[in-house]
Amino acid sequence: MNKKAQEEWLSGIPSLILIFIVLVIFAVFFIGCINIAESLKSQEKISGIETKESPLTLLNYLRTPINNIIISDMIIQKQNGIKNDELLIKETKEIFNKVYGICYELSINNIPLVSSAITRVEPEQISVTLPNKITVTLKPYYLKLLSENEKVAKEECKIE
Amino acid sequence: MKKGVFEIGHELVMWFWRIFIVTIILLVIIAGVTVNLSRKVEIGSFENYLIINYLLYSDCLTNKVPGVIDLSKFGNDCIFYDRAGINLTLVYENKYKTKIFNEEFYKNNAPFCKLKTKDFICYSEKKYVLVRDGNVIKRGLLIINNIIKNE
Repeated sequence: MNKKAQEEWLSGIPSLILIFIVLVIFAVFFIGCINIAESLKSQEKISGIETKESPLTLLNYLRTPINNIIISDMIIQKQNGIKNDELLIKETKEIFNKVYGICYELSINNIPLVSSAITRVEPEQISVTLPNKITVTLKPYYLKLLSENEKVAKEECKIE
Repeated sequence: MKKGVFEIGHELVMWFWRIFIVTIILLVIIAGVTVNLSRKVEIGSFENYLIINYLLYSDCLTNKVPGVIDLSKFGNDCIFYDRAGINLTLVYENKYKTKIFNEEFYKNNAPFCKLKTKDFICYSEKKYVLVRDGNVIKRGLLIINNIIKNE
């Protein structure tokens, strides 16, 4: 190799090093951007039905037998003037307190039989119509709280 | 410094900026497309909802009366779903009955519920149910602990 060619070759080394450094920086930058894009991936959640209560809870309540009579019949009797409020409230609390703690409301024709201790959220609402146009409505406030935070909901509603 | 070497160095710096700008534009486009196209839909809660409703409405545990669990059917293996482990505890008259569907999956992955990893979604629910014991209807509580693999 003559002296001139040697000189040109040597003067190109810093440029090659610079290109190498630039490529490394680009590679690191590129991998970083891919990771950011991964973390930004849109996440959609089907949460609309997450807290929706099955009407079975209310139906099961209404067909729970107590002393050869079911609760729906007791509600009809109550609306017909037979005083059984005390037993009805006791049984209602015994059933729903295990599931919703103190965060539910049960009403008959929009008159609360058992009121919720917490009313700061808009509750779920399930209604069943009995004969004689008696409407029984269950509002489990607990389910709405549950969608916010399970631990807080259980503590606030005093659920075991 | 020779003129040729100076020109090469000058061009190199210019190319450095050109490549840099083009790379940034490309990255912005790639990131934008990735964010919009790579949507991840979490269906764990939906699966949980379906499993619970299947248990309560189908003849898996009930005798064609939704919500009324037939004690004679409680031990049946009627759910075959390899992405979920379902632990059912039926409480009635101070008695406990337990049934685990996909038991191996449930026992292997139950510890992950406490760690709260993204790989598994855990649900715990209580449902008020009626229990048919022969011809007698009793009140009961169905405690459902569900582990679903998040894919």
